[in-house]
Amino acid sequence: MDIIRRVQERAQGLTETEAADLVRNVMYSLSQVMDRPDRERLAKRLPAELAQHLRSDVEFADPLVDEQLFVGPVVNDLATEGLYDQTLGGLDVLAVSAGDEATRRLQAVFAALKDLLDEKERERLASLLPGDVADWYQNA
Amino acid sequence: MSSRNGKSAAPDQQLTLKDFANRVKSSWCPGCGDFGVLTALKQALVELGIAPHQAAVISGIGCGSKIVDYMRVNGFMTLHGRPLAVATGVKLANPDLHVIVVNGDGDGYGIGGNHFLHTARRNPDITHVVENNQIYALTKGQYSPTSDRGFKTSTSPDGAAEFPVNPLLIALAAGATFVARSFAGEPKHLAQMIAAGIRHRGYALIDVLQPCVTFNKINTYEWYAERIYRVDDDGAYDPSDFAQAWRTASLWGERIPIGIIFQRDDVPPYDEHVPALKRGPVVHRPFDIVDEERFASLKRAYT
Repeated sequence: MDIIRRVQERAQGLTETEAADLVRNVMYSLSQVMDRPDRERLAKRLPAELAQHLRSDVEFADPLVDEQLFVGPVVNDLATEGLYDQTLGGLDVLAVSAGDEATRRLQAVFAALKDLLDEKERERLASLLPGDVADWYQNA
Repeated sequence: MSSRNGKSAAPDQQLTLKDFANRVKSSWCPGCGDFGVLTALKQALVELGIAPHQAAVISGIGCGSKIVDYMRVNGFMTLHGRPLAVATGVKLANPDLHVIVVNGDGDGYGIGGNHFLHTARRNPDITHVVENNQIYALTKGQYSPTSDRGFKTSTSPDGAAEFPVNPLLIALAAGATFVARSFAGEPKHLAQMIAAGIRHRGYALIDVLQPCVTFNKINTYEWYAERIYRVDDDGAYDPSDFAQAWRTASLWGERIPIGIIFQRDDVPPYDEHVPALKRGPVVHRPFDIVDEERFASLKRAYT
């Protein structure tokens, strides 16, 4: 899939499987914050293999999904246990930077997504994103 | 003051989520399911018109139990496994407070298992939200009572040998009058379940499926999303039907039900059975009725 390759180029260091999982998780998070008409509208503008990851069983957006729940599925897939470091208070070196890494990967998907949309649709999508997610999207 | 049916008198101003916000920065991992529980709990209180001073959140020990630090509300972080006992005391002393226990699966179903069993049986008017991420997360990833068999962690390198507990079935068997489950990744649904639990007169369990993004790479957001289904999508589901609730609560694995699994409203809460409370709530009694000499004698005896 072309978008997988685009995500790999932007994120760098991801395998094809990791990039595919990342895309799937981001599309899931997007579907949580969109009503059905918005999802269907977006789906029409995306390749079928990408649009299929937008959930179809929920009618309305969940207004309580914030940036934390949006990024959750992405963090879930990160390696977060590697080297425990006492200088970080016993925290794992990988876990400490998980939030920043998740944002970086999220932005790689956003950038690839924006390439597929015209200006009007990009702005429309931006208006649906919660809190910091909208900023991540704009800066992607 | 609030009435005992879980609703409050209409406040002068409409409550918002911000009324429950404080300045304490959360130390939860980015993306933690606890954020969903925190938001949903606040939303439930807003919807019910319960102001911060009218609620008490009692927690144990664990990542999720830090929730009391992150909310503007009466909060009490207790010992590991003991919030239900403390919460019962809080409710008996001040029945006007909406008492909500929030703890994790280790705190609630492990070390707190005995309290869980008997609180369900006793039926005090408290709401119990269990952040069930199927792992001990604060201590960096050990398997818990709800970890699936074969789950590999630092304390189960060959895979957990035990089958997990089913907290819904335990609650039903112990006589719980309200049993529900939800998912932290769907905070709107979770808020509805918490609100229903608070409205319920008696013990209300809400088992919350919740990803631990750092230490549990099996039961992820995606894993739960693929499996959960809402029991009320089936127009024929009747939460007052115990046999149906038992069958539904038994389901786990490829299909996991969420929603109000069981509810009965004909069992008076525990505080209505306590003879000492017939004279009125403890919190409303004047302290000066205590005989000073007797009080001094009691102090000498117990200090």
